[in-house]
Amino acid sequence: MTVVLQTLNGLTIGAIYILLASGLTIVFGLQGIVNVAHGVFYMLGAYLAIGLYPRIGFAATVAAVFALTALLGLVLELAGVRPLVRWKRPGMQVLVLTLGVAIIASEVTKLVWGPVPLLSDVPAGLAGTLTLGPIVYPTYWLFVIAFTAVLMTLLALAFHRTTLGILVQSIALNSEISQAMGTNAPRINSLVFALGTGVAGVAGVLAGPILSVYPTMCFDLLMILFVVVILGGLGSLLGIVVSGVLIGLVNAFGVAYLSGTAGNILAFAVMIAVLIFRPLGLFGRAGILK
Amino acid sequence: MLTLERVTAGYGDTTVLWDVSLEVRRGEAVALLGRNGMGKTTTLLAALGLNPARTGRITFKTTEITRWQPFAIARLGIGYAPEGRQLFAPLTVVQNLRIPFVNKHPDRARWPAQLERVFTLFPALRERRRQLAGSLSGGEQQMLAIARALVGGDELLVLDEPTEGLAPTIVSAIVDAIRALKAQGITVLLVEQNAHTALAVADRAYVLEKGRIALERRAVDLARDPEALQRYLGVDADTARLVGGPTR
Repeated sequence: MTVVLQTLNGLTIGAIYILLASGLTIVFGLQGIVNVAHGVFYMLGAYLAIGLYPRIGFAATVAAVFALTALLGLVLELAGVRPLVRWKRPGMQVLVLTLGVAIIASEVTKLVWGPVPLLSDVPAGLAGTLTLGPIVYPTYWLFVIAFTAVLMTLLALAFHRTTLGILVQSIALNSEISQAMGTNAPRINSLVFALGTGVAGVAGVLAGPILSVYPTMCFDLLMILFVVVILGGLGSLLGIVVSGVLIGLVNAFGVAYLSGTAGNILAFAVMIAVLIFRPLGLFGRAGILK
Repeated sequence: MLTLERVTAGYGDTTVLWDVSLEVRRGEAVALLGRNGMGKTTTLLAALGLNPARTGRITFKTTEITRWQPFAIARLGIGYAPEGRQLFAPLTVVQNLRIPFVNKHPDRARWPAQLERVFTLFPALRERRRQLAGSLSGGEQQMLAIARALVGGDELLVLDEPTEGLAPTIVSAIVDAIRALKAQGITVLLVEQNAHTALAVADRAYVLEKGRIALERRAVDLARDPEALQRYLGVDADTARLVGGPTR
């Protein structure tokens, strides 16, 4: 039974990783930049949910947090990232800029909400447990897995079936040529960036009742997210789903059978082992969203 | 229609183009010739905003576009078939064509007509419409590159080395297609290393040497000037005539 329970634990934490990594990896695929402030939107989502959920309910909280974190992401992209990208050599500059944003956000969070970790409540409708034969598991955790599965399916369909998705793919494949075909790449890049930070905010709302909410949470998940993104193959949507599940499972089993710190150590070990044989990650091909 | 005035451009610390001035008039086919590395592609990239000019002035119709973003320039009705095709290989033929269409045509109802138009010009693409661009043969890929430029590029078609690396029968098919487009009134700016092919299609030609315009001639005249051909392009005039030269 522990094996099944740990698998579900791994899928739940993996779902959070996937939600967060999706924005990181797509933005990297489009613009070749790493947004270190991505975790800020996750943290903001978690804190806002604590205040919002008791007042406006769970569904409205998810929607409101998505809208707000997407909007803030848009501001960061337009005011910070875009000028640097137009400057042509954006990699390191964006890294420093977003790191600065993350440090400031973390300190402001400490001032506003205090340094003590908080725990948000499980939404009333999703409280309790589900019993599946011999297995008893929290309903909310299963909901997080299902929510992520649905969202990622929709995202994949959007990339392959919609016109906007095809334009996004063409930018990832060859931004210059796509623009020479009339694609307003700067605008689409901003939109996708905002979508990614919005999803990160939602991930924060979902993670609140599972992981604790504290002012440096925007950094703590970052290292493991980089593992997920790199292991999956930079820019690959399918890659982060597979590697998110994999790292989630490694983490859950490592914690359950070895020790509390073994999860992260094992995650890095898996990444290094894979990169020796596949330097571009599991599904990595330069500049391709799959 | 397209005018470059004293354009200077380059990459990093290197200047590749010096004071390049040229003009493409409405309905004309203009060839930009020169040996490898003389700045032909750099000239196109400057005009398209993909590698903006450092100094000088670029005008399309009556609009100055020197500092415009590439997508905005493209939306003026300029189609571009880059050197080496540069198709979106993992996307299908139709998806490749769809990209310039949605960007350049506010009226989505014209999509079937646009597809029909390029499939009439290149019937081979009709059969391959659901295939991935990367799975096409070299000739079909070039047809798709020109077709992709044509969708939404009704005003000016910019073709960079459209016959590079193709078998002679395919080359003549491409040349025929470019002639047909010109007959439809589309303005063409053509970069070619192969002077014979270019002069067979063009009305006028510019020759670039070391990043400067060395010569501007009517295509018929240049094709009959063995000395100039030999000096700037390293081709034998007799060969040029044998292969066809200008036909009109």
